[in-house]
Amino acid sequence: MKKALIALTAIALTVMGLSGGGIAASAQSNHTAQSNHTLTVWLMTGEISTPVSNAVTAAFQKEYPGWTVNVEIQQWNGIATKLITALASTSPPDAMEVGNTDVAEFAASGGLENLSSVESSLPNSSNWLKGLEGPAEYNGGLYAVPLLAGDRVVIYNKQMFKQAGITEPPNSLDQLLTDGSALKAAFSKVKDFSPLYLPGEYWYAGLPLIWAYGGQIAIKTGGKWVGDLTSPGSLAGLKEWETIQNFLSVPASRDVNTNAPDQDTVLADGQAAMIVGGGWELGAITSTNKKLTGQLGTFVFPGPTAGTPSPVFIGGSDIGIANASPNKAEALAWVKLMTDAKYQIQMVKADGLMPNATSLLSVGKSLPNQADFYKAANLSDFTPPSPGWATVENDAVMEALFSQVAEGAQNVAVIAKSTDSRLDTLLNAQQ
Amino acid sequence: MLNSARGRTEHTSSPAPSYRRRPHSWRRATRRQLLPFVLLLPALVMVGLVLGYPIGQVVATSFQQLGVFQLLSHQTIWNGLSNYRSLFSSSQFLDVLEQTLFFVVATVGLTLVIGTGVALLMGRVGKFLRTVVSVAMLLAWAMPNTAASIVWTWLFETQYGVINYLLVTLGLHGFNNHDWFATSLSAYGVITAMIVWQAIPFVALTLYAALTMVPRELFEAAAVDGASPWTIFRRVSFPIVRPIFVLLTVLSIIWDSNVFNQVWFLTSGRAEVINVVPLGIWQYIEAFSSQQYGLGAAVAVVTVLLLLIITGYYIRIMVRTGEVKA
Amino acid sequence: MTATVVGSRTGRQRRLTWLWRAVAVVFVVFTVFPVYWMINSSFEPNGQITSLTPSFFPVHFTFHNFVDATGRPYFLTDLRNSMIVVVSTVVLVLIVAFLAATAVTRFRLWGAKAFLVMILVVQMVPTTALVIPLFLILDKAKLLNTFQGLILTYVALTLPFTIWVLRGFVRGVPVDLEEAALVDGCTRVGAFRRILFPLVLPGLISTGVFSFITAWNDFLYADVIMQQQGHWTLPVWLFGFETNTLTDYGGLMASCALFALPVVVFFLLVQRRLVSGLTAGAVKG
Repeated sequence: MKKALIALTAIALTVMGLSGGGIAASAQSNHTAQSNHTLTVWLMTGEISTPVSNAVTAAFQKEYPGWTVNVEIQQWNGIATKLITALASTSPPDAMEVGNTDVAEFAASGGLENLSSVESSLPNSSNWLKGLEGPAEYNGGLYAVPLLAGDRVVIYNKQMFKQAGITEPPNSLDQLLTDGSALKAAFSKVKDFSPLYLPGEYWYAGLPLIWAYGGQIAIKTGGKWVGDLTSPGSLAGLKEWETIQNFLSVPASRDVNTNAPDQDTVLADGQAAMIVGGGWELGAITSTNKKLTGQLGTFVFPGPTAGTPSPVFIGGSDIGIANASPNKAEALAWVKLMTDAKYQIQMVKADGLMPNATSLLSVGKSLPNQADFYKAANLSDFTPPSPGWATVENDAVMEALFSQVAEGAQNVAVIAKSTDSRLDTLLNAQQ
Repeated sequence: MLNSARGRTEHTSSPAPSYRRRPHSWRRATRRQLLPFVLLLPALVMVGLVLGYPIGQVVATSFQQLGVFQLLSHQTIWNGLSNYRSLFSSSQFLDVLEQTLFFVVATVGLTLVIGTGVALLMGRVGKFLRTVVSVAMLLAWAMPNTAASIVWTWLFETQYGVINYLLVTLGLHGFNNHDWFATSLSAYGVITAMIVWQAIPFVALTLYAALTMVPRELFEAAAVDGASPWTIFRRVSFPIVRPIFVLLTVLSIIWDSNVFNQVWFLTSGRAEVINVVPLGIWQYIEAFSSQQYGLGAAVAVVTVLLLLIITGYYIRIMVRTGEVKA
Repeated sequence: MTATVVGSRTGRQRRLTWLWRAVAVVFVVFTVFPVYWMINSSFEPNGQITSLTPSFFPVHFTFHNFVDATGRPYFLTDLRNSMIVVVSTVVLVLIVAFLAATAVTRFRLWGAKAFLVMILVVQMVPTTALVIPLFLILDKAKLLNTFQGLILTYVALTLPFTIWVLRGFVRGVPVDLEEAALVDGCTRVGAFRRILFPLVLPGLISTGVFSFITAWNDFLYADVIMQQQGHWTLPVWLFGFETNTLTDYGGLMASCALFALPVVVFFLLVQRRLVSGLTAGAVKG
C-alpha cells in the first residue's frame, strides 16, 4: 500500500501544482459574458419592497424596451461572502446593494465600477448623506451610489413617563439621568426594570456619545488611520456611556446586544420605559403588545448641552455596479432611477426607509411618527471609511469596546488604548 | 471479523477475511481487475474532480497572499511560508490548540460513551420504546444546527432563559439571571452539551445497526454460559463492532475539531471576546473576518496535518487487512 | 433483539428491564426537550415566545406562525428544490458509495487502501476553507446556480465518510455467503444484489439518513452556489426570517418544525430496516 500511497500522492501534488496558478488566476475567465438583455439587481431583504422596485423597473423598461430586470432579494446572513464570490465569478449581478459600513471594502477591491466620471449626472449627488457617500469613495474615485438610510432615536412609553411625572422628553444627558431616577422610583416594584434599556454592546447607541463630546473613532492623518479613542473628547464620551448604561439599564444588559433578549420585547413587556431604536422597531413593539399602539413617543438622543442632541449614527446602503458586468450602461440607468427623487420618495413612503440626500429629508415632515428620525439625521456622523472597517465589524471590536466600558472591570483609558491599537492595525491593513 | 468469537462456540459458520482463503471464483476475479476498478470509478471521479481541485487550490493558496483585492483583480501573489510563519508566531495559536484539544476530548468522549450506552439500551428495551428512542434522537439530529443553536441560545439566555427559570424554581436561586456565556469554561460547557446532543444519534444508530449484525446464537450461547450483560458486551459484541467503533471515533474527532456553526451561533459572534476559539472558529476568523484567504487556507492545511498526526495510527490500522488491534 | 432472548424471568432481570426502561425515558426527555421547545414556540405568538416567564404549553395557541411561514414567497418552490437536490444526493451517494465500498473490500484492488486514506484526509479539510475554490470551479464548469452543481457538491462532500462506514458493514458480511450463491449459479452482480445488499441495508440506512440530513440542512454551500431566489433550498429560505434588525421567532420556529418534518417521515419509513436480516436466521452454514 505504501507504494500506492506514494504514487497517488505524487499525482495529487502534480495536480495541485498545475492548478496552483492560484484561485485568483483561475477566477480570471474570459469576461466576454454575453449580454442577453437581462439585468440582474441584488437588493437586501427587509428594505426596498417589491412594488417600489417594480415601479423603478417599469420606468427603466420605458428607456430600454425589451429588457428584463431580475431583482433578487438576498439575506444578510453570509452576504459578504456571497458578494465577494459573486464579484469574482464570470457572471456577477449587474448591480448590488451593499451596506454602507461594508462598501468601503468593496470600493477598494476593484470589483465595483468607478463612477467618478458620471457622478455629476447622478441625481442629488451634491447633497448625498455624508454617512452614505463617504464610505463609497476610495482614492478619489466613487464606487457606489447612496441608496437608503436609517438612524436611531429614543423610543419611549408615554404612559410610563406620565406615571413618573415626566411632562416632556429630556433635552440633555443630565436631564435624561434625572428622568431615569423618577422612572426608577415610579416602577420600583417591577422586577429587573430599566428606565432606558441599553445593551452594553449596542455601539450604534454608544458612538453618538463619543461624537457628542468631540471625539472620533479614528482620524486619517497623513494617509494613515490612527485610533482616536484616547483623545479627551472620546474618553469623556466613553465615561458618559458607562454612567448612563450602568444607571439606566439592568446589570444583565452589560454584555449583550439588542437581540438577546430582543430589546423591542423588553419595552413591550414593560421591563423598560425607553430604548434606542430605529423606525422599523415601532411596528415590532406594537405588534408584540397591542396595548402600546399610539402610546409610543420618540425623541432625539440628547447631548451634554441642553438643546443640542448627540450626532446620530447613519446606517444604510449604497448600490454599486459590478466591474465585470456586460450591462454597465443599463445598470447605471436603473440605479439612476432608483436614486432619483421620485422613487426615493416612493420608497420612503412605502417602506419606512430614509432617503439618500439631505434635500429629500423634508419628506419626513409628512410622515407620522418619523419626525424625530428625520430631525436626528440633520446632525450625523459615520464610521471611518476605510476598507479595513469591514474587519473591525467582523471582529466585533466596537461591541467589545462598549461592553467592556459598561462592565467597568478595567479603567476606561486602558480599554480605549487597547482598542486604539487594534484599530491602528485593522484600519491600515493591506487589503 | 468474527475471529475472536470463534473460539467460543461451534455454531457459527467459519468466515474469513477475503484475503485468507481465495477459492477459484475469487482468483478469477483478481485477474480481471476491470470490474473493481469500474465499481470504484464513479467515486473516484466525483471526489477527485469536485474536491480534488478545490483542495489543491487551498494548499496553493496557503502560500499566497490572497485578499479581496487580489481575488477580484485576479492577481496571484506568492508569499512562500509567510502565512505559516504568522500563524505559528501568533500568540493565539497555542491557545487555540489547547482549547481544541480539551474540547474535542470532551465532545468525542461523551458522544461515544453515551452513544454506545444508548445503542446497547436500544437492544434491551421493547420495540415500542426502541422506536421512541430512535425517533427522539432523530428529532434532535434532524434539527438544522443553526435552528438548534437559536433554541439553545434561548434556553440558556440570561434573563429570559428556561434553564435559569427551571433551576430557580427548583430552589437554586444562584441561577437567577445567571450568564452562561460569561466565562469561557461555562460557554464551552453549553456548547459541548449541544454538540454531543446532536452527535449521539448518529453514533447510537450506527452502532445499533452494527450490533444487530452480531448473530443471535452468540448471545444465546454466552447467556447460557452464565455471562453477565457487561461480559457479553465486552467479549462478544464489542470485538465485532470494534472496527465501526474506531471509525466513528476517528470521524468524530475530525468533525468536532472543525466544528464552526454551533460555536459561532451560541456565542452570538462574541467568540473572540470571551475567548472561545477552537480551530474551526480560528479558521473562519483568519479567513473571513479579515478577508485574508491565504491565512485561512494555511490554517486549513495545519488542521489537516494535525488531524493526520492524531488519527494516523488508527487510520493505518483500519486500512490494514485483518482486525483493528486497538 | 436480545431482551427477548435473555428473557425477564428472574427478579433481577425484571428489575434490570425496568431500570433500562427508566433510563430510556429520562434520555428521551432530555433529548427531546429542545425540540419540544421549538414546537411549543411555533404555536405561540411572537410576544409570548420572548416574554419573561416561559410557558411550557402554548397558552395562546395559534396557527399564525405556520400560515405566515408557508405563505412567504418561494416556500413551495424552495421546498421542491430541496427535495429534488436531497433525494438525488442520497440516491447517488448510496449507489456510488456502495459500489466503491464493495470494490475496496471484496477485491484485491491496487491502490484501494491509498484511496481510502486519501478520502479520509479529504474529510479533514474544514468545509469553510473549501467554499470559495469550490465556487470558482463550479463557475468555470458553468454549474453555478444549477441543481446539478449543488447535487455534485453534496455528493462529493458526503461520499468519503459514507464509503468508510459502508466498508465496515460490507466487511462484516461473511464472504462465504456470496461464494455459496456463486456456487449455486448466481452471477457476481446477482450475488451483490441478493446477498450482500440486504445484509448491508442497516448501514445503508444510517448513512442514507446522514446524507439526507447533511444535504437537507446545509446553508453555506446552497447560499453561495444558488444565486436566484427561485433556486434556493429551504435552509436559505429559512434565513429570510432574520432581517438585520428583527427576528420573527415564531415564523422561524414554525419553519424549522416544518423543515424537520420530511426527515422524520423519511426516517420512520426506513427505521424498521435498521435491523439486519442476519439475525433472522438467514445464515447458512
